[in-house]
Amino acid sequence: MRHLLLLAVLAGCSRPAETSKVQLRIAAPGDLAPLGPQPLQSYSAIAQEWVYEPLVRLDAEGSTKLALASRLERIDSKSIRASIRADARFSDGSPVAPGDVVESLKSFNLSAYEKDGAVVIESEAVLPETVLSRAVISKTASGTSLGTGPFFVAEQDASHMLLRRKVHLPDHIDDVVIRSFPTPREAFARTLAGEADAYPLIDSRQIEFFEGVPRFRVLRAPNTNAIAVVFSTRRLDRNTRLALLASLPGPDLARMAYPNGCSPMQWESASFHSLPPGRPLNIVAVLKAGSHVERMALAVQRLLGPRGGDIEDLSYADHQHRLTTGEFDLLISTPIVWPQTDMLLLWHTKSPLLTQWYSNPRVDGAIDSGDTARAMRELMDDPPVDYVCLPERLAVVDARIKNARIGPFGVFETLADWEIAR
Amino acid sequence: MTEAGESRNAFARRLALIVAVSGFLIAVLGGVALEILRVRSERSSQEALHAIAEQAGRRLGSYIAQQKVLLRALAGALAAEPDTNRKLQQLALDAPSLGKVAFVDSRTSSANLRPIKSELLAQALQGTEVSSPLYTSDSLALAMDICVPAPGLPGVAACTTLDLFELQREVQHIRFGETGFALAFDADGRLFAAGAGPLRQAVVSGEMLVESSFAQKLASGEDPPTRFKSSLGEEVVAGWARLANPAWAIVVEQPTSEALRASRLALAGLGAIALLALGAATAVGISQSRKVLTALEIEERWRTAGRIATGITHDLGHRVAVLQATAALADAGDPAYLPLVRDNLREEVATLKKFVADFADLSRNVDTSQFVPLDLNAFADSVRRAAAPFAERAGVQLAVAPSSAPLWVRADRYLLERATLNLLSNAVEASPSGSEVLVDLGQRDAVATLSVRDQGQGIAPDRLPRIFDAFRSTKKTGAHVGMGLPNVRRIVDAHGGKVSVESTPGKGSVFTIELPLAPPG
Repeated sequence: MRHLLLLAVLAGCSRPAETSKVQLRIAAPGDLAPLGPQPLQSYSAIAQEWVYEPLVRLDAEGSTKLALASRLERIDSKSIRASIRADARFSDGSPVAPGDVVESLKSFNLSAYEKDGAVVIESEAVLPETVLSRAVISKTASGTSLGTGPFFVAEQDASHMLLRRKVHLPDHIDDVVIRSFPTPREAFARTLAGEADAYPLIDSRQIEFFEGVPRFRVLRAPNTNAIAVVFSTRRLDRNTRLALLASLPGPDLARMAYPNGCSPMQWESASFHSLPPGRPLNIVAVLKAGSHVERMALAVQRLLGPRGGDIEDLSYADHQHRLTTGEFDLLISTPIVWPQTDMLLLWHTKSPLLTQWYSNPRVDGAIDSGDTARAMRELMDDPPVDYVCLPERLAVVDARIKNARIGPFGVFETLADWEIAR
Repeated sequence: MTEAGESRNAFARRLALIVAVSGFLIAVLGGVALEILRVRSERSSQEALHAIAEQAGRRLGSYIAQQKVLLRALAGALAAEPDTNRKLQQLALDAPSLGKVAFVDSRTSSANLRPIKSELLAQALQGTEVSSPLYTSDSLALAMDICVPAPGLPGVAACTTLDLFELQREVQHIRFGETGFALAFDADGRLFAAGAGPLRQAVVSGEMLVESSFAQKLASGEDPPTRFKSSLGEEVVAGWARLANPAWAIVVEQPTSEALRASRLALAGLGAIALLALGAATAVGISQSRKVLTALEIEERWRTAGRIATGITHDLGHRVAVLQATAALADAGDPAYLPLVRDNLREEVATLKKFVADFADLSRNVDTSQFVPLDLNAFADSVRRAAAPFAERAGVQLAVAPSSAPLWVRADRYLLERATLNLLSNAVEASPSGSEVLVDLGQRDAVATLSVRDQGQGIAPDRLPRIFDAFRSTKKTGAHVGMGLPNVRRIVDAHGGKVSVESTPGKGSVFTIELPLAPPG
């Protein structure tokens, strides 16, 4: 009798219906670099925000909110104590240990050590909390880089990357496939043709083609990076750099490189310095990043007149190498400008964010004392860079996604929370 | 029905017919006018769209021509310059649509100029300006190869692959109204630029659209339709234009919901006004005709009242004369006159009682809720017995021929009896002594029939049509005001039946009552 009852109960139970998985295909121009926690000069970088987590994230106002950290305490201007969330887990299920956090932070040029179950982070430069948003926490296991984010890398090669959500969430994206196309033009065309559901950082001229297409929605947001001409402080002296700053006015460059418009940088134009005659200055850039990069390089060449040298096309890897070693005259780049504290820290000698050959004690001192205005003046007095303008960030996404947006910091940073309308 | 009533009804019908015919004519004329208006407004929209398509076509054609002019100018200006390559590089800033221009001569390998074909190159080096058809490049960009000879430099040409991105943007920017857009097709009907977002995918995928076949028609010299269901699934009005060189087709479409909105509103407004006018005219016509009919009816009632008064005056006057004569006999005091006085008084009382009874019947309305089931066979026999004494005094036999089966009807027994007795008494009065009056019962389809036959003098044919009219008695004057047969008809009509008469002068008459059968239960 009891067996019959059990059978009846089992027969009455029904298996929950399988809900169909949601896959988002993202178009990306250029080869995809293997995903890792370090900054990447490749479109695969957009996946870092879904696989890895930092201790804190930035909100739309540039303030920090806790992510992997459960608590932050400021010890002094150059050190912070962070407690880790007890429930934090890597994609293999292993808990996040303070030691993992220490090793991750060290790889971002931050000094860190474990103390009383928490992690103490120190910097030789002033250490705002915002800096911690750029250092993601990871560990390597069996040759694979693991993160604590909602997604993990299931497959990857130069042409595609498959990221899978660890825990299924109804009406949310389960899989993300990043598909590589040889050029931005082809990525745009394939997306329009329906072979991709999203295309981040699309050219402003191409965005018009998506307006009115019911399948897509255009996203716009202010940029956190400016387009800039970086001067090699290793090859060019201060006077030459000052002259370059005056010879390459941002509005003129912006007008030529961005016919559709680009928000100007909000500071005074440089005072006049004549560019002395000399050898032509070479201009390096990753031209396949988009037509705007090529136009910027041509605009720089034109404005320099006889001193405008050849334009050299680089790969993303070469670009990073040249930036670090200073083996260039002028380099088209997109340095961060938001939040402003981080923008200045890019040029602090002891800052973990410094990625290129530059050192100016006056700038360091102003930053350390928290005097932003003075830091900017000192920077422009010995300029390593000519900030041109802030191009709008544009993307297209599948119109079924209800709450897709760009940012606040990463391009598709909030993708894990996007909901799909069925 | 009285003659006046008949003419009144006829008048009402004629009036209604006139109003209906007038209204119909107005509606037809109005519909024709509205249709002409609709066709004209649609043609006007199409002409506007055609003009825009022509203008768009000229702009696109001039765009390509401008690129060629620019390329020629550059070829002339830069071909012999020392830093040509750098200057050509700089063209991306000033003329991005020109693409990557290259100067070529006989030593240049066509492999270095991919995708420009070698035959194009060869023609250009011979001094001919050439261009390829539209094609899609490896990066899915819309492209066209152009080569122009460098002026003054034989054997040198400037070649480029035009990036027609800007051309596509031009087409996308063409707008007409809120929802109008342009599409551009090559000679094969392939869409290469779309102002409608939902169709833009076809630019890249190469999918053929509804409009593609129309574009091919235009390319072959036929006229494409100017109104059709577009690839977006909605009805559109369209204007087409054809470019000769290159052989492209441009169509500017606008959904009819917008294109014809103004005319449709106007048509709807006019239609509403027309309907209102028609309705008002009909209402006024009906109102006026009602007034006329009411006036006629009132007039008829006065005439009827006049005839009643005439009849009553005449009959009562005769009764008064007889009573006066009788009173004079009584005044004489001669006992020998007493029997005559008594007989006269009895006869006049009986006549006046019947007179009052006739009017009493007129005042009694038929209430169908009081109807009861009645077997006409039994009913006829009952009426025969009631009329028997009167018939016996007149020396006339009364007989009833029942039907083989029961004839059930629903009726007001009293009123039906009054009607039947009226027919019987008329038949007895008309019959010579010794003849027979027969009540014959029968059934025809779903109708029961009760016929009263006499063998009297019959009724003149010219009187038959008005036999049931009020106050037109065929009997001797001084006996009736002529309400009997009209009352019979009123009663039978109220029972849902009808009464009719057939008569042969010299042989007799047959009055027949027909009532609908109503078997009990």
